[in-house]
Amino acid sequence: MKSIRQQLTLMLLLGFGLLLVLSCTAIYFFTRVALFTEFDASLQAKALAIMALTEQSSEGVRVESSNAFFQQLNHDATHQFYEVWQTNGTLCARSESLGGTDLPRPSVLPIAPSFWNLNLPAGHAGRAIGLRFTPKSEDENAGSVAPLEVMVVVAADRQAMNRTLDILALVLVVTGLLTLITTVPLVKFCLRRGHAPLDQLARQAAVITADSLQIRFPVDSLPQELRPIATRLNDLLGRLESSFERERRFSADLAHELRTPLAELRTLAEVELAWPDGGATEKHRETLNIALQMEAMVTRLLELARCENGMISLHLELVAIAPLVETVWQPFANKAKAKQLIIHLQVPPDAIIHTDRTLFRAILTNLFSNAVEYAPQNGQMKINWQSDVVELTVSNTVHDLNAADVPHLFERLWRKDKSRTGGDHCGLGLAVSQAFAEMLGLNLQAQFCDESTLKLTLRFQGS
Amino acid sequence: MRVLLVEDSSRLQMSIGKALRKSGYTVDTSGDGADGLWQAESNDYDAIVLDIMLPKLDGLTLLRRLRQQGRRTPILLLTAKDTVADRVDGLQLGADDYLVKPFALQELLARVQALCRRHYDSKTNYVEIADLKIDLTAHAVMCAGQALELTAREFRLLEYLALRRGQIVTRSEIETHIYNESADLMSNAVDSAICTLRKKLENTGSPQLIHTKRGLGYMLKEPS
Repeated sequence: MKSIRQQLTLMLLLGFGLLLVLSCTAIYFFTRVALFTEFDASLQAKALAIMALTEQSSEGVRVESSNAFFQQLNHDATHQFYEVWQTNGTLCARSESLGGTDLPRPSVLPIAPSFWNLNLPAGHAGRAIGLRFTPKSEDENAGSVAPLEVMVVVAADRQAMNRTLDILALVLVVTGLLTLITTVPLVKFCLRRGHAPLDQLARQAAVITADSLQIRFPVDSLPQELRPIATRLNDLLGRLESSFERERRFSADLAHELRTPLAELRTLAEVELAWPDGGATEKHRETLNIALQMEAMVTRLLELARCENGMISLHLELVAIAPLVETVWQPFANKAKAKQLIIHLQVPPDAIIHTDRTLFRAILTNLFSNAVEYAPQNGQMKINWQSDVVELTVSNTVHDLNAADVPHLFERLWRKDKSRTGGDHCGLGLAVSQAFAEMLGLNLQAQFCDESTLKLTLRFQGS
Repeated sequence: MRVLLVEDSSRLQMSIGKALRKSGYTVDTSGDGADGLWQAESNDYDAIVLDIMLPKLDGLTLLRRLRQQGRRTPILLLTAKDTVADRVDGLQLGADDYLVKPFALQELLARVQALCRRHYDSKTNYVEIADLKIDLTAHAVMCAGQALELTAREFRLLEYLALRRGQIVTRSEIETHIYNESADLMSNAVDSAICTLRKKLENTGSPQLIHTKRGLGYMLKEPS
């Protein structure tokens, strides 16, 4: 399983370890170079001093070894060594510390001063400088003597320096390891502290269930990096809450719409069986009405389900609007007349659209049915077609709806009356109409023209 | 027993009302919450069958208001709302029972009967006073070892007196719980019914169980 904390821990430890190794190595080598440079400078100074105290005469090369400098060299007999010889191999001088032995001579005599490591006669590690030079002449008639080349090698025991470097290496390794070991819990602690808001967010998210979608993450108390995430999560929760609430309401409304007629049917039958009192025709009529009510609702639910699952195939054709509107309106004319509705029908005879006649007819039926049902007594109803913008509007006066209800009008099973009394309109008509409209590429919208007039507009999208 | 049925479905109102009446209850009906509350406040019912989703005033608000007024009338919520949360809400607000639609009619009647019994602190369907034995479920009465043939109204009267045995029951209480408001209630209807019932009991050879408390009412109790 991928863990950001584990990955960060690993990467930080690896990075820190690498930096530590590089730092320690750099410290060691810079210190070593510095020590060697100083060591070499000391060797070179001694070699130059010997060079200055070496003279050539007609008798050969002579080193002024009685000088205080040589006394000091010989005084440190176990650590300081020197040897001077002519390039032809003739020994000129050597330190007492060599005990009569020679220093290891380089196979190639360097022209420029050069340094090398070597094993000293006592078996100790040492370092030496080799310097080839021509000694100055002590005779006034120097020009009569052929100049000789002399090689001086000065060596010194470097065990002390090696010990210093070993101790430094040991200190660096031990310190580095201790630092690395200490860093592991420190990094973990820091990451845990750093991830605490994320863990808190995760804990808060873990307790959110379908029943507690009203919970929101406290954005202000979160670190800046997590605020956008929490804000998006809150937005998501808001949408989920609305969606769940809609689904819950739909389920509850559906249960009511199905349970009530079922209860009516069952009770009617049980009462009639227990206490028959004749009047069978009336009972049968009631039974039929209940069955028709349930059938209508189930049919609409199935229409919605088929529509949402793309199971309705379209048969597009040219449809004349005026005769279709007239045909669809006929079944509602009597009810409109009984309610003394004032009807304004304005559909040009030449209005034609390219659509599916069956679905378009179903939409018109729902719109007219709703308008007639919810228009108050002596109310008004207008059916208007506008060819220029290709839209049909059905508007009617209402008495118990307002603008706040508009967003709910197309929700499945929504009813203004929360008691859901009466079963003729269960609140599926507009939901079905909108689903059909979308299939036909139409846009069905509702709005209030004024405080008491609801207008439903069916418009071709893009028109 | 007098029951108030508050239900907005006219079909259910009619069917349940008929079933309750045929089972011996006096039934008042109401189609919306506001009217139901008014009736519940105006009358003393033995039980109320209450829908939740009602026009004008929902059933839960009606229930809350009755309980806030201190009315302890047993209430059965009869509703299509079937979730646990709905049931808990209803019961926590003070409902005594909860039945989900669709329901078995016999179950509804049994629950209403249980609520009426609870109203009179009776835990069984069987009442025995001296040699009078009443089976409230079967509507059967035995007195001095003989089965009594009673009309529905006579049984309701005996049942009401039996559930309140040892208490004085006034004429107006009997009128309220036994007779429909719409019924043609004659001024001496209660006295006449008591007289008839008393005769039927005495004809079995049983000692007098229904006692008249002058100026107060009647009392069913064991002979002293």
